[in-house]
Amino acid sequence: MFRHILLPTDGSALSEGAINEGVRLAKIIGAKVTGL
Amino acid sequence: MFKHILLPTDGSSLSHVAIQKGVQLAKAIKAKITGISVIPEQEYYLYQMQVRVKEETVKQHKVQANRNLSVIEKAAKDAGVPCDTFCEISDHPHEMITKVAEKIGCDLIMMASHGRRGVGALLIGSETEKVLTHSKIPVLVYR
Repeated sequence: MFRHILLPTDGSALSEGAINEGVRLAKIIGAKVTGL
Repeated sequence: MFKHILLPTDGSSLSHVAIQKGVQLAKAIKAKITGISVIPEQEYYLYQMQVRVKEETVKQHKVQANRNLSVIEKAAKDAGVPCDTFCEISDHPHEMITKVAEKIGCDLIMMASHGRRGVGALLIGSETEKVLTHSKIPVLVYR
């Protein structure tokens, strides 16, 4: 499964939503995240 | 987290890879999956005046679609993931994919970046691009 997820952000509300979902996904599948 | 993943397939090798990955993801996050194969409607009109060819063409498409869907069923069964499959008819696969996803309450569409038409000159497959553009639910593009 995915081991490392890149989460780009531009500070918008929608990218915040994507970050939250990305972090939840990473937690469940045991991946690490990198913010950009 | 995602509870119901839609996995569209056109039988291409990349869509088979996306299916395997989709099933793995579903298993990891305890989601269920639904496989979908869309048969082109155009063929029916094209061959409407040649009844014999028409019936054979439709039959062939359905046989192929069911074969593609059985790949999903098998992968799901092997992984112990709940699975359902749909075979739909439409000239616009992306419309049918997003419509079905909304209708049956999927919260993620996972599909290959390219399908049967291959990479060509484009960076992303046309149906995948249209799903990405029009879908109201998250889309995970496998490449």
